[in-house]
Amino acid sequence: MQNDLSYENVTMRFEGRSGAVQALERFDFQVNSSEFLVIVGPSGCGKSTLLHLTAGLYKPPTGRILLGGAEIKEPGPDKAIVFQNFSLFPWKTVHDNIDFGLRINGIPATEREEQIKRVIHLIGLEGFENHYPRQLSGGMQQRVAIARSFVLKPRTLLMDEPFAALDAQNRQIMQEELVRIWQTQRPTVLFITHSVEEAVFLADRVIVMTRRPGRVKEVIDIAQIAGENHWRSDPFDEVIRRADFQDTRSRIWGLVKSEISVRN
Amino acid sequence: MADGSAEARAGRLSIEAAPKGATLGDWIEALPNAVRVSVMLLFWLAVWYGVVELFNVSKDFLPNPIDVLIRIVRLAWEPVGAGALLTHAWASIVRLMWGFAAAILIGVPLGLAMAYYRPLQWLVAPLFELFRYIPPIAWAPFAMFWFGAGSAAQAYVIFTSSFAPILINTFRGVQLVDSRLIDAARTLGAKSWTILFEVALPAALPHVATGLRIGLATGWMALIAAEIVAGTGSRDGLGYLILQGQQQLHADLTIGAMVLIGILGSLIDVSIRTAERRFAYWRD
Repeated sequence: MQNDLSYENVTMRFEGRSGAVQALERFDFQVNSSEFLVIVGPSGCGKSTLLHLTAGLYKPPTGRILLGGAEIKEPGPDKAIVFQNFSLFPWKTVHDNIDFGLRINGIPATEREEQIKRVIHLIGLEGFENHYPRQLSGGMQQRVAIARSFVLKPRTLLMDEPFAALDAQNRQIMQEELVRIWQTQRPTVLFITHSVEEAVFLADRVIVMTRRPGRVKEVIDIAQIAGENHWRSDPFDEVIRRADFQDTRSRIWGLVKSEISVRN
Repeated sequence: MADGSAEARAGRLSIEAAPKGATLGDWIEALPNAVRVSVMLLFWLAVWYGVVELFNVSKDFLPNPIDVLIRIVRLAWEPVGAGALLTHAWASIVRLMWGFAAAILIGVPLGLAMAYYRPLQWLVAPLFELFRYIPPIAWAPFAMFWFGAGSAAQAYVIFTSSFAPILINTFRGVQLVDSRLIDAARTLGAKSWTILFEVALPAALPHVATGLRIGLATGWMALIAAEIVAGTGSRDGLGYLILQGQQQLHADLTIGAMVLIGILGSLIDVSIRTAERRFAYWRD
């Protein structure tokens, strides 16, 4: 498997009101092409910072992030983000939200319509093309946000706690839906979550990060533990009852817990 | 989903919570808005009429509402100065539109640019802080130096009063745009011009609309003052009617013109609120 995304010695600091905050320190990692990588860690460990750096929203003062061998210098549709709060344009319809990225990247109109139709079918929102975001439930809004990124056929899809704002039932449905949608194109996915269960279910590999300044604490190869099919190819409520799933979950939770300082 | 909060906003919850055995307050609250407003206005007109008749107030001092109404109706065809009612109302509205249009053309782009480019904000802010304490009417004599006494000077006074709310609200609107929307647009490949016109401006539009509404209202108020102070060159406008009433000792004309100003002002406000709701169709 080739390396798709590589982090070389990435450091990030923020100048806050109460002095500088070291968000990331010497973060080194290689992500494989088409890998589903999930990052967990205590709050404030720099997970989101890592994602924003990968998106090119800002540049690390030291170290480099390479996508397909080229250093990431600015944001672009090859590394789209799906945000926790969906971040849909509230004044645009479902159709126009999905169209936005295609249009500004100069895709011809006929092809755009085809692509929009394809992803709307993929997320199962036919008939809602002309609805505004506020007319949709949280789960539906997040489907649109995924479609808006996915339609650009990104090389890397960055997901910043995408299901954290959803209720438990919707979250479970969306986890399974994401797997189904992802399988159609298999971009490399960087997925951040606070839910260890979600991480174990979705991931090829799980990274556990240390508390701030964030570094890689441990990498758990889920694909190796779960075998060829991965847990994600089976229904969620069935998988979570399996002993090896529960063992893995406990092990990762133990790692995360050891990083949550009592002083936090 | 939104029904509960919409009801709470309309203040209807208190009705349902109120016990049976309705008091006068409950009865009034249950009326449709337009009916309630009309009833209340009629009440005040009756008070006005009652006071004038009861104390036998002289017509030159305070005419009763019926006299004023008759005067307004007569004004519809009887010319005063340059023409009858429509001529004056139209003259005022045209001036308002000139000053208002100039305020939009300068205020909106400048507000956008200031929010987008901080050095411009630093450059303009001190000047602005100084100028906002100069009341629009204080510009009138100065405007007459530049434009002579007449419509252009009056439009300039309107501009000075509409400009500030339009600029400030546009600026605030752009500043308050959710930065995550801008990040989302950037990761989808949007560059700065696209972000300005397709994200920042639409997101700020409700604020811009509020600025326009306030600007139009302050402009309308400044207009009348401008017509009285800077209107010596023109013989039209509602402010001119007020002045004519005073100079000819016709209190009914002065008051009639004031009533017309109030009515036209609220009509302008209602129409721009309607337009505003269309602007913001996508909001909750």
